[in-house]
Amino acid sequence: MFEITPGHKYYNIGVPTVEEPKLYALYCPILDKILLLVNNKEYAIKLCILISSKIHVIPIRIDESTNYSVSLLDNSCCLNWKLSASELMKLWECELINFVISPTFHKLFESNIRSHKSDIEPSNKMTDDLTILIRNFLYLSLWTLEQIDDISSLYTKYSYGLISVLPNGIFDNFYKMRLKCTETIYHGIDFEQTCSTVEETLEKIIETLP
Amino acid sequence: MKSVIYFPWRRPNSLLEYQKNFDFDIRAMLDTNGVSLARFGEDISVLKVQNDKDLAVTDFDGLSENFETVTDKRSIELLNIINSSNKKLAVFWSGGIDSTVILSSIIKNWHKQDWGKIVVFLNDYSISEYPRFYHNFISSNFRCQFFTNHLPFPKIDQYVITTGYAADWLWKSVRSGDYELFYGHENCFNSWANEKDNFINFLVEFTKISKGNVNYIVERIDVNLNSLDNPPETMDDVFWWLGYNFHWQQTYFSRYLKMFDEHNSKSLADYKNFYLPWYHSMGYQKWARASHTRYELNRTRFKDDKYAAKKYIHDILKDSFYFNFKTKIASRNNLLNHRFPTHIIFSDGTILDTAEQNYEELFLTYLL
Repeated sequence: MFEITPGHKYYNIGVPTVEEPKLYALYCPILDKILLLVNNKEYAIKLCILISSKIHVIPIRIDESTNYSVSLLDNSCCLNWKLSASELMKLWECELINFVISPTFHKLFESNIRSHKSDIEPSNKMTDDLTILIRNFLYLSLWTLEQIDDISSLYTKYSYGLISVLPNGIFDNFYKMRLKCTETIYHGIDFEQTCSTVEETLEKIIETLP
Repeated sequence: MKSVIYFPWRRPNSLLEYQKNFDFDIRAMLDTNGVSLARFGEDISVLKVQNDKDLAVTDFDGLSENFETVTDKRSIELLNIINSSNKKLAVFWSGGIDSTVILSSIIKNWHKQDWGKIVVFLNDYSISEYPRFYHNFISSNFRCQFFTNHLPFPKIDQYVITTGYAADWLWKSVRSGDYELFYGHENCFNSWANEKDNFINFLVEFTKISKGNVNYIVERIDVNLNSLDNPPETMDDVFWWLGYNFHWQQTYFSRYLKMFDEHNSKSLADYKNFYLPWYHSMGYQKWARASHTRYELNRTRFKDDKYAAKKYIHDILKDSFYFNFKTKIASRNNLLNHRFPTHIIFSDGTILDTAEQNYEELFLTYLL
């Protein structure tokens, strides 16, 4: 199974930065593993929603963990770590462990991301191909969201000050393409095919920049 | 004299306030679900398990078909019913495992030209529980009808309804949890005769029912078990059997009030022809008891939950994500608001609301 590793264009190191000092772990109760680390709350929530058609993942504020350090945990090794058992019990209690992303779930999410305030522990579960595939989809999702935001900021830059003279509907194509990218990931099963569709769509968006 | 065919499992609040009524309540419940019904309620299919001579707990391997065969047969059975009634089949799809088995089985066993006889009732929650199946298959192959509790049920003269309720009771017994914690896993597989004293203590401890009443309950259970051709043997079997009977009946009749209020009919015969829960079949009951006895249904990992059902789906839809990662959630709440009835239902289809202030008096009037 092809695995996205450091050096790949989709790879993201997953550590806090000066601009984004908080770190969110996308924890998967089914696999009992931390699947990915993201330092942006909005992306963390969106990734949970995008991957929800395949597996349930919960965003947990991990930088508040008692033994967290940048040298201990990043995306190159997070599959080897899990939350402590006590944290798992809390998730059971609040029924987050079995959640499904419902049309209204984001309201709950936005206001109530849990912090992990005890140790993170080594995960002794094997990492199989399906886990790698899920993680690849998460990497692709994160990369795509970043690309879309970059393009979106370009649109804003070009259109700023021109908006009053631009014809109505000039951004419709961008919105449609953006939706196509996220829907492709949401419904995708074949990773290579999904990557190829997403990248082609992103290129088309760039070609249509004003 | 008409008989009671459904009595609420959860006692109405008014009864909880009067200890003097408790014995009356329990007796009615057991009579309703147990001995009485077994004797003169043969039209209540939930009790078939008591009457079938083939249900020998000790020799199930040779008697029970596997989940796949049972499901395939059920699919053909429903197709034949649809064909003979000239109605459409309304499938309530929540996106969960049980209702996804129904649609998978139809895809597998029905010719494509028969798929037009299906209308899938669903809503946003169904789609979000299994979006890939909806977008890649259901929406393009079946007629879909968005549904919420605020909308009327499909009409009785146009549809036969099937749902995934209450497959959960095929998969588990009510012992999971308290009894196992109290006496240990191994004790659940002791014989009923040897475990009876523990069971009495358990009921006293956990239900706060007086020992006298508990002895009465156990005595009635014993009478009931002894009336079976092939009584359950182990404590675990007894729990399964009790849970299955009580809860199936509750689930089965929980639709009666809503469906028939809306269609202005109170005929039980109509109801039974109109509402055919997919898992309400002899084949599934046999399979469940067989599997139950073979310990197949004990869950130790997420992915083992309803494994046979997920495997069935996977063999047809080839979706490894659903097969490996679909977890148990209470998806029944997605599509239909699952309120258990607090009404007593009589054999002629009439209903008595236990919220009525003088309900006990009415109840006796009805019976006498």
